[in-house]
Amino acid sequence: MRTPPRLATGVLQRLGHPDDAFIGDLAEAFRAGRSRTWYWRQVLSSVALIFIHDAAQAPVRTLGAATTGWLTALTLFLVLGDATRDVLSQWLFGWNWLDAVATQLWWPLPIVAVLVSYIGFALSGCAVATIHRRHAGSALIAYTVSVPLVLAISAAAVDVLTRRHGHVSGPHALFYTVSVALPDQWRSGLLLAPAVTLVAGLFACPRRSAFEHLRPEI
Amino acid sequence: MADRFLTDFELLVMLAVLRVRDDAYGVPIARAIEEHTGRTVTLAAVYLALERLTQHGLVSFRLGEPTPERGGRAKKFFSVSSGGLDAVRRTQRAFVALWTGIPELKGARP
Repeated sequence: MRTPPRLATGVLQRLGHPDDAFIGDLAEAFRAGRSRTWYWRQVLSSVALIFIHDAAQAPVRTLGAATTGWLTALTLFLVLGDATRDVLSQWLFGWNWLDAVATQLWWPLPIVAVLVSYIGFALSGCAVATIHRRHAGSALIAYTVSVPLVLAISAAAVDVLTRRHGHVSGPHALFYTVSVALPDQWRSGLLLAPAVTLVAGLFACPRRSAFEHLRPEI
Repeated sequence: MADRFLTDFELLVMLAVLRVRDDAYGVPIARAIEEHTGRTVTLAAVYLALERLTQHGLVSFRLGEPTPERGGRAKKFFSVSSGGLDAVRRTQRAFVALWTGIPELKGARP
């Protein structure tokens, strides 16, 4: 008996339509000869439709989910960003500030800063899925969609301010947020940051059990 | 929701449920729509429409037995309620009323 793609089923159980009968229908159609491409298309369309449905039904909750993610990320960067950077630099490269001042060896810093950025995005994705547990899928998608949008706007603002003033000053926490979307990181964060956020958040998303959607709202 | 009109997709789903009758669960409903309209539908769209119709009392469902080919998951068999039938008739009447008297559509059957 053909087994439906496990990864797709896992995504469906966390982000898609919260109905066991729906998952059963997909499995039955797949075993009757539908292709893996068809299965994946059904799963992704389910994720998109559920997100659009939830966002239309509860726009405030959707915005709240994205806000939760950004507040978590900024708080993490603000409170733990530099400390994490220093610990990682020491651990990965044996680098510390005192030696760096003496030797003027600064190259490990930008590398570790990138790691700190992605750790922050991953943890904020987990936080959104955990805090908005009941609508974890839609909440996570809302935050994930907001990540490249906010990064692109922030990077554009940095570009404009740099052209006008030669430099940009601001709270250090913002550096970890926007640095991955800047040219010296090849703007890789516009793709990687939402991907990291989504994948990490998926691990924190509860798998929906049968008929959970029939339980009353708490 | 006594006076509710159905959207075009809800009407397609209701008609498919009525057409498939006793075997009206997700897969045959989606297949019936595809076969009769030539329109590709996703199961998620069908389920979302059925969920909405169920919430409005136009459709009800019963659960079948779990089967191995469905990964141990039960089927959800849908049926149209009397309120659902009224909604279908009301929507049909609205369509026909709009349809008639349009010169460009003369000769076409609604």
